[in-house]
Amino acid sequence: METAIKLLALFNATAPNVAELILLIRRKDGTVSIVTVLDEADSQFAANIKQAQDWLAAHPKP
Amino acid sequence: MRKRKLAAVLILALVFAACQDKDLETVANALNDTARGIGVFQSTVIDANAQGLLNDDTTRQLLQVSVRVNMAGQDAVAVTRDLVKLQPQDRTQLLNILKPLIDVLSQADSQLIGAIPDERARANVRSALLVVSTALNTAQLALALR
Repeated sequence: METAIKLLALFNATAPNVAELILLIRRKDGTVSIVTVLDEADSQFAANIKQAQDWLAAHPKP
Repeated sequence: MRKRKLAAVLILALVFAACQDKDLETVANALNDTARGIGVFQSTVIDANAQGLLNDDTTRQLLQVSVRVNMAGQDAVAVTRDLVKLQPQDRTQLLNILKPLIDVLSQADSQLIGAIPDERARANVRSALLVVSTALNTAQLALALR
């Protein structure tokens, strides 16, 4: 899927309509690329770390 | 003629996409589930603390465990991000990151969560932890079964 998305980026310059069509198929298919899933995970991990560190900073060990 | 060639290449790309490594997909989804699960776990712990059901010391230790899981999760994401197919060395590398977390969570369950005096708070925190453990076990199975 990642290679397909990279190819789409290339095609978008030369044949925008074809690229749009394929993106539409991808959405209809319901699949999400691994990179997108990993991006979500990475953001969530970072937000979690911030939440935990904020609490720990507000409640220092006596 | 040029458009026909483009269409052929696109079809090949889609066929290639359909052949994507299923284990890699499972690991990516499990990492995302871990991230969401540990977020819920932290919020449950912090809420229980705010309600006076969990003391600061236990809350601190549980959040330190969760920070460790989050950091290891980020490491695992960094390793997984550039992969198209899981090779044996990738599996070993990812297992080395994820395996210790399962032990850490198991210890947290027995030593910290088991000692939470309020039954409902204990059950809530334990349920949240179970989601994380399940996601990590799913990733571990996908990485090991080849």
